[in-house]
Amino acid sequence: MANTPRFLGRLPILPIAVLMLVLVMPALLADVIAPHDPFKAYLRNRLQPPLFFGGTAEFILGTDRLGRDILSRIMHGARYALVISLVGIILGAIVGTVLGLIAGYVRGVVDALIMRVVDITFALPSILLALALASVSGPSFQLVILVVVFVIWGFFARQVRAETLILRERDFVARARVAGASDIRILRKYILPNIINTIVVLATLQIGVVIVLEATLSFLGIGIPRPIPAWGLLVADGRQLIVSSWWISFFPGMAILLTVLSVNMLGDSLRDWLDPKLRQV
Amino acid sequence: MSPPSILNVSGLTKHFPIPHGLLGRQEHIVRAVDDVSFSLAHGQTLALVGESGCGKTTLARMLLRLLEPTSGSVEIEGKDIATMSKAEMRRFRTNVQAVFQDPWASLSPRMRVFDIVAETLVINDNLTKGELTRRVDEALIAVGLRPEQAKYYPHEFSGGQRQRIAIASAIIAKPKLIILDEPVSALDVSIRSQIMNLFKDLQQDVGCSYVVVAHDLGTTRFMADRIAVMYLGKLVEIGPTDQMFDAPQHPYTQALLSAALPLRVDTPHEAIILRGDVPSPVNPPTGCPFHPRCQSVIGDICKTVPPRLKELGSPDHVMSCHIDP
Amino acid sequence: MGASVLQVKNLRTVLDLATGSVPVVDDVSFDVGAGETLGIVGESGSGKSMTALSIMQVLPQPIGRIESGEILLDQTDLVGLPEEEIAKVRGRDIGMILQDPHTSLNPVFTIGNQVIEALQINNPGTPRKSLLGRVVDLLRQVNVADAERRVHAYPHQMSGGMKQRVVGAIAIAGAPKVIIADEPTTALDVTIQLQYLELLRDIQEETGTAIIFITHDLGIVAKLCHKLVVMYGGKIVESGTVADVFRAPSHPYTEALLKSVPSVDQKVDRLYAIDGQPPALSVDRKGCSFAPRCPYVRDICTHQVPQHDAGLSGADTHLAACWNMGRDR
Repeated sequence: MANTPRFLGRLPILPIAVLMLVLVMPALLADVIAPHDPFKAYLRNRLQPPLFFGGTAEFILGTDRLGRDILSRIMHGARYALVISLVGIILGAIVGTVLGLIAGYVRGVVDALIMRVVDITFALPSILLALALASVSGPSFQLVILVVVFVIWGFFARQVRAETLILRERDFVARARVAGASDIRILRKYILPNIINTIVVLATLQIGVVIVLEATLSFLGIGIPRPIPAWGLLVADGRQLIVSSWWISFFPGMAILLTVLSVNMLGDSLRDWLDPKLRQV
Repeated sequence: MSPPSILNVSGLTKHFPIPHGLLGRQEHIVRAVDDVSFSLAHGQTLALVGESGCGKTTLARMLLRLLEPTSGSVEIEGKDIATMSKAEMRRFRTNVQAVFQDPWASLSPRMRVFDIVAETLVINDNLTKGELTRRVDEALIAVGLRPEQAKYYPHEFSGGQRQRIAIASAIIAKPKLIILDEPVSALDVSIRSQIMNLFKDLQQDVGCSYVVVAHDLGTTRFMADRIAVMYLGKLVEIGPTDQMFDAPQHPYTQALLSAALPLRVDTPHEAIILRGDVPSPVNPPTGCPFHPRCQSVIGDICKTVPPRLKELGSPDHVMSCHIDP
Repeated sequence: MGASVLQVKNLRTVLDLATGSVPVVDDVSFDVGAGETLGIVGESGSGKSMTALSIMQVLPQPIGRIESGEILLDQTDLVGLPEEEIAKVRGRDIGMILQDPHTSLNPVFTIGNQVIEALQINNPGTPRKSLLGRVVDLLRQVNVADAERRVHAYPHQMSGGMKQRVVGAIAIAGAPKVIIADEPTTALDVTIQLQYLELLRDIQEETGTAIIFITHDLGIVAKLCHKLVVMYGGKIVESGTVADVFRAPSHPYTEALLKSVPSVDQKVDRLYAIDGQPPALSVDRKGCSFAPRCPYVRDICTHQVPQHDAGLSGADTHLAACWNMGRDR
């Protein structure tokens, strides 16, 4: 609308460029652009340092203990970072939004119940939960998604509930009731469209949280199962050799750092653009 | 009342419990609306006036069934709105509409004018797309907007135009009764007269009745056939507009009407200046709720006995005061 | 009425927006004397509040600035004074009462504290204890019942009318030469509004302060003010004594305002109404800003700005800016 050109004018070029480079392009095109097979061990080239640090252009970011190409592994790892964050956040946002809408709209006992559950999820250490679950079922893709949803749905539920509480008292909702609109119609046509901006901003800001969470779980060995080259696993791989072969942990770590930083910067810009009210949050 | 009435309110009461104390036990009750009765004839306008906390907005919301009364009843064309069947409720939702005070808060920023205006018909009637468009165009023209404007969002309009959009959406289903809750007080002075004339024109064209909630007394005199004055949830006086303005009987009505500032400088404006503030409705005074501020207290009876409504010459004009008219 | 306490001469205030510098107060001049009340009347966007903010020099930053003109307080020009000087003037010589009593007071301090704060600006170094008696006096002066006890009350424990009276007490704490009241009664009930207007009048009689009362309500002007200025689109369209302007409104906009407000004295079938909306802010404006809505518009109105004609109603204080002055309409 009228705001779009202004937003384009202030488009945060740098974070978007970094994200494209580190996360999105590798995730989509890893099979094509990765110089090597991420699983193939070039045993003769074990622990090759990166280019400019005594290495060669064949393995730009060096190799690990088994001679696997770090760059290719990071590129393939991006795919898992992206998929996990997207799936986890979309599911978390849906669960949180639906429960938040119900809590804020129905109020009373239902509201109290949902909000206490949110409090509990915030109080429970998510890593311990993941450890407990992983010890029962073993690490898996589904487990990571489950933990992600568990950790983030409460943020959505809280924010959506707060806005629903305000919106339901607005005169346009009263007018909809006077027109005979059902509760479902009011939620769908009057309340949800007015909080969708908030949800989008919140979702963007959660990407960073989720990527770090996923990396932490993988690092601890309860996230994405090996041999998938998840970023957290890549960092973990290099931890015994951090002094001698620093690059094994360093570059995956940089990928995580750059991604999280860019996503948060992007989220802040998006927030300023979409909803000036949220600036203080 | 000779002409059949569109609206009959009897003994309408709304109590709001206020949770109090640490455990949220209910200790206080606000009597927002207390035993109010009146009726409104077809094609007529009744104004509800009073100061903040008098219950006029709560009353209006009960008429719209946005709030459930604690006791008493609201009848639209003889049908109690609390016990309506689904089909009757649907009729009620098209027959009774509302226009609210703030045209910035009463239109969803995420809906186009077309969808805002069409809403009542979309929900309650099964119309073809073409028929719906025709009705929306008609409604927009009736309120002085152009049909092409249906495709825009509310933020592209000024306050006066937004109120016109709200009015278009209220009249599209050809309602018999429209509740106007402070319909012009958020608008600029030079826009108010446009909108008030529009309400009058619409009433003449379609014969609808209005209940106007207003604090501006000039608006009231222009719009209303009858005026109901409320104070702390109670009806203190109700009667024909001219009688009320020219010879108000209840001391509160007298003070309230005298507080209206006329636009003239040649004759001095003499006003009854009331003492103190409006008491809290949580803890209203005993006896007549107006007695602590009343300029005409006649004795202890005012402090101890709540006055009943009594007729002043005709059943059309009643007040609740111990003073003999 | 004494000599001018506050004199505004050819004030021009602009907002620097992305689209350019937009004049919000344009060539505005008026003066107000001791013991005198001036009403500034206008709708949203008329520039009435921007005029008040210009006098106080609290324009929205960083976009608002006074471009030219003088604001003379007792012959001292406030325009261009350094901020610390202005701050002194604000607390001491000019008192301010804003529209919303609920946001004018700080919710976490007692009423007494907030009045003491205002007193200390003028009596720096005086211990707070010794000012308490003065606070009670001030609260009594603004008709706060039970002032000794109310000194210790917090704003949320008071009604809107009571809070606005406290705001009034703060405004007069420094015995100001001018009080600027920006729609102070709009948020109040009618019976409370009447009390408040009487209070302002009493304060003025006791202290001889000048009052600038900004409002959209002509009824208040008729009741309270001696002189008035009618603003439209950032400009003064008509000014004069209240008696002159009400008896013989000369600008079509003033005329429309007076005719369009429904009377409480008699019932009419139709209200006088002018079409259109108040003008939006715009960078380039040609001619009279009321021209698009004016029933008497002529060719010249749309491209040349009308000057003020004086001497209406036989008084050189009664001015209007209209190309149709002196012509039959």
